[in-house]
Amino acid sequence: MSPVRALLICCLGIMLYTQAAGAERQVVLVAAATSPLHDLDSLELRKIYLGFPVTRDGKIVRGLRNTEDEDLNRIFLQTIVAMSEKAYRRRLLSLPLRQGIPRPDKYNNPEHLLEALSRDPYSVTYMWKDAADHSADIKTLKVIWQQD
Amino acid sequence: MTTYTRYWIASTLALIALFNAPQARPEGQQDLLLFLSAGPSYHDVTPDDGPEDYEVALDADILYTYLNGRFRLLGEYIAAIDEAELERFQLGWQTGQESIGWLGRFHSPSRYWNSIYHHGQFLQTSITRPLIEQFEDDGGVLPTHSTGLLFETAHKLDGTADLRFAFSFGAAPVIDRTELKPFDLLDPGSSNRAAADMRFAYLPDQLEENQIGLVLSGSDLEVDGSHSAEQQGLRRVEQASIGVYLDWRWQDWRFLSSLAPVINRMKRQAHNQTDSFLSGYFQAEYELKYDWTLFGRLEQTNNTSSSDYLELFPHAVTDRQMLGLRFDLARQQALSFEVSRAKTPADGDFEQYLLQWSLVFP
Repeated sequence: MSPVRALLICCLGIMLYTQAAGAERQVVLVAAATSPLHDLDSLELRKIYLGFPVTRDGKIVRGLRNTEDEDLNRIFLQTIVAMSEKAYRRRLLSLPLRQGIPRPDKYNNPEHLLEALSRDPYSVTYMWKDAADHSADIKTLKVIWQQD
Repeated sequence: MTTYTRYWIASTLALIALFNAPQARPEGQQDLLLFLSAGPSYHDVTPDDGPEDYEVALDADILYTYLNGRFRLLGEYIAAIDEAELERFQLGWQTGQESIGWLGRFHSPSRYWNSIYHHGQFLQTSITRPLIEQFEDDGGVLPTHSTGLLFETAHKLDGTADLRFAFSFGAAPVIDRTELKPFDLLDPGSSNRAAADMRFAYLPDQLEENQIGLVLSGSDLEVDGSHSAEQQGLRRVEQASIGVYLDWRWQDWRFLSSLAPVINRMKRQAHNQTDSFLSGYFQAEYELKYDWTLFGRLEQTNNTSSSDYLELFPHAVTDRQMLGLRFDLARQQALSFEVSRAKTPADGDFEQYLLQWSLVFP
């Protein structure tokens, strides 16, 4: 193989890899694979994480927070609740104080998060798409963020 | 019940909740919060009225909540240098997506400030509260606690707007030796009469907190140990109040205001008499850069000298001009400083300086 052809193949490989890696930079909304949940619109999702009751089949849908990494948390604050971290923290504190509603559970361990999802079929969370693709116990409901 | 016994009850409840660590469980969710606040205050009372007064405040507020399906439990216990009290204990049942009924002891829904901050001092920008929002044992002249039934509901209007309604009916406080004393679940008395409270709120965006509202309250306050009330031959006070409030955020500003006329029908042994006063406040807060917040409040009460009812509370702060600064540090702590020109019926005008450190955990 000529050096030029080898270089072209390498460049093509790098391009394909970059494209594939870029496609993985998505954050998706997921539920347990056995969950009856199908879709939640953006307003409903925001309501869930602000402590407003959103129901399906008469059951309140619970939002679990994935605090695995800072990028994911930043995307959650910008895309789902549309608040600064400080404002959201204060809003969460007012949930138990004003309404007697516990704050959404936080998980920084992916295994614990998946266990919590599987225990409650009416719970949802968000995660990187590649993490969701690697787990057979969950299903993706929708893409909530995609890298430009 | 002695303060010592109360501390034991609070400590036991806190330990039970702590060892029942809040984990996601399909059968229910729970949460535990601790609000702490501490700091000195200096009251520059004029020499004619007494010595200069230094005080140190230290408050710990424990809040526990439990949610299981439609059932909710909320317990709040406060321990301070001079008091220990089961502030709230409520059992709730969600009757609809936006409706819930509560049974127990709660903060009266007609006091808007209390319904958003309760005892969460860290969440409250200012250190002090206005007169009409002040808790009974901190010099408040209006009932802020009730024990009975509370119903809260919301009705979605066109677009994003929301109309919220809260109504309560329960036991009113009594007029104790020096203050109003609400019904105590751990030490129930028998002389409490009835109180009814209502709050209507309009929110242009149901997911935001901006709102304007109307509050109504009616309380029958029995005299039970107040020496000055007994000297007046006073047996009880039928008190009615109707007020309006506003809580509005605009860019980096926040405005909190309320105005409430209060009518007191003084039921005496010899004759009955009616007096009234009007009390209101306007608080503005401005978020500066780097987690600093500048705030100030003007509050005023009129007819203070002609109100026999206010005479029962000679050390209540009826007027105040206040400026303050708050700095949020380490995410869940804050340092606040306030300087006020305040006035009470007994002490006249005086200056007040307060410094406070507050925290919420976790």
